[in-house]
Amino acid sequence: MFGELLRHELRARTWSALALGLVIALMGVFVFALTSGLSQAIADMTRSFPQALTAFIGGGSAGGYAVGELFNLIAPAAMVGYAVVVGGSTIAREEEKGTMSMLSAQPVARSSIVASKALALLASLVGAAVLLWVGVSVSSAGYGIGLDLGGLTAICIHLLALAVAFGAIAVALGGLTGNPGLSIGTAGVLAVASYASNAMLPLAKLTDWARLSPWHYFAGSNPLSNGVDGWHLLVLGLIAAVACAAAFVGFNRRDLKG
Amino acid sequence: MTDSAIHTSGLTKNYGSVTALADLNLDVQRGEIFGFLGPNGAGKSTTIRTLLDQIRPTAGTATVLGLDSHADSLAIRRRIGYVPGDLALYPNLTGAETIRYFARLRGGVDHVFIDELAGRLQADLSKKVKEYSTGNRQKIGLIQAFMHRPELLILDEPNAGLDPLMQQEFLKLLAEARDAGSTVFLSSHTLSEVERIADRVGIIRDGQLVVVERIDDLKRKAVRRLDFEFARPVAPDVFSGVSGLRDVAVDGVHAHVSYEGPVTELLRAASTHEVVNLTSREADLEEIFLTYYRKDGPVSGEAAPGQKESVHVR
Repeated sequence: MFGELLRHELRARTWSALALGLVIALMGVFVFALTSGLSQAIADMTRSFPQALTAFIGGGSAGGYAVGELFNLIAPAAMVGYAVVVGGSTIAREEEKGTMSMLSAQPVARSSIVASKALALLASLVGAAVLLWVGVSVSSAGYGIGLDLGGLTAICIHLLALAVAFGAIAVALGGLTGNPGLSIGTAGVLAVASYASNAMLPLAKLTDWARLSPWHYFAGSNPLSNGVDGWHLLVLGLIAAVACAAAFVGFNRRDLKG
Repeated sequence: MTDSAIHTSGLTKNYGSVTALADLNLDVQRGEIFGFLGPNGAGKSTTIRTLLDQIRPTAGTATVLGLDSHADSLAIRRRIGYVPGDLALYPNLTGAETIRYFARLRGGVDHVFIDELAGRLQADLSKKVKEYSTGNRQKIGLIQAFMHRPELLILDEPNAGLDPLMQQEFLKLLAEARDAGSTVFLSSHTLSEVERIADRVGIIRDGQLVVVERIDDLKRKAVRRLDFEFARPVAPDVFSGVSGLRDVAVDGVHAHVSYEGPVTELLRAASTHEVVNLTSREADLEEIFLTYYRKDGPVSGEAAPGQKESVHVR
């Protein structure tokens, strides 16, 4: 019966995940095309920026400013945004709409409901990350940007882990509260605040404090240049695991709404 | 407990300082159709959702088909069919896809029977749920509740939006389920919905079970009415001293009398005058229910409603 639950969830996620993946992949292609054509002009422009600003906007990234924007802002905002919105609503929206009343009356365990929803979100994010990876790998080679395929693969894996972590936090909030607005809002605020703290604290010489932000474990090790950082991925994985455990326990114990 | 399809013992549910269910002791026998009546907000859905383990009681226990409502919830849900009060389905699935989804979640559902149910309820399964009227959505809910021939049907106000013909068919389905040995727990806020089909009814008010009666007994107890027309005007106290009187209105040659119990004494009092015409009106069950529904109505163990006698003179 779990397979049927998962199939239903995957079906519900397919189009949105495909749209997300195609949009960020296309953004990647455009950014690489832009970088290829205007690399000198962008480099001249960003060279005149103060160093702190260049660091904040990701101008020091491999591939330059535009590639930095893609991997530090555009793709993470899209992936994390999707993870938070879908994660926060996947359980709680069913309660708000009332369909949970029917679903939870079927012979399926509550933990199966959480597991199917979490796995479907994971699959959506993996699908979107793969599309992004294909887009940037092909266009990097095609436009002769010369970025290392290993680095591109690493940043996509780190991005996936970051989105999974925030998605799991949102799923946990939905599982614990049954309130989609509250879950999406809280997880969203957490994502934005931790993004800002990760970007700004190092500028204020508070680099150690930035380690509290999940975003530090996304790009802190500069995976585009240095490849995958196993420890950082482990931290993001642990955040996701703890959040999933909270979702299971919370959803199992409380009264369902709707 | 194995003879009970549903058994609750001291079932209580509090939401903060609000008591939704207070010490509910309910026993529904296997093979009966039990009407669970009460005004909106009385605790009907709270009771049902507790039985389904969707919400957990603050105190007390419930067994369904002899199994613990929480510990054995999964096993219980395999054996029951349920239609929730505010039925919500997935708007982007068609009726057929919805039924198929729930059937696959259960496994082993007879698709020929699904087709038969859809035919009998005249359900069009080809459209998306969001395009359905309330009644058509309700049909999908009913098909998924009946499709696996469950031992117990828990139906929370299932008549919503069904036209009279479909209500008739729905009642037939309930009767067939009972004949096949299933139990039906049918919640409603109006008596007329369950009167024709239920063997027993329980009335819940403010989270408390106020009475459980056989429909036949209620009908026997119910208030009946007689309208007399006399040849000449009669005195207002013409029926004084008659027992079982609930209401008397005397208006010259006409007298309208409500009473409980045997009619002999009443007729004897009337026949002291020349009676030109006598009309009997149907037992009014609704009135007895409304009395139970009202805040100041009796609770279990107290006298039946409407014991007080009153006389109006027009």
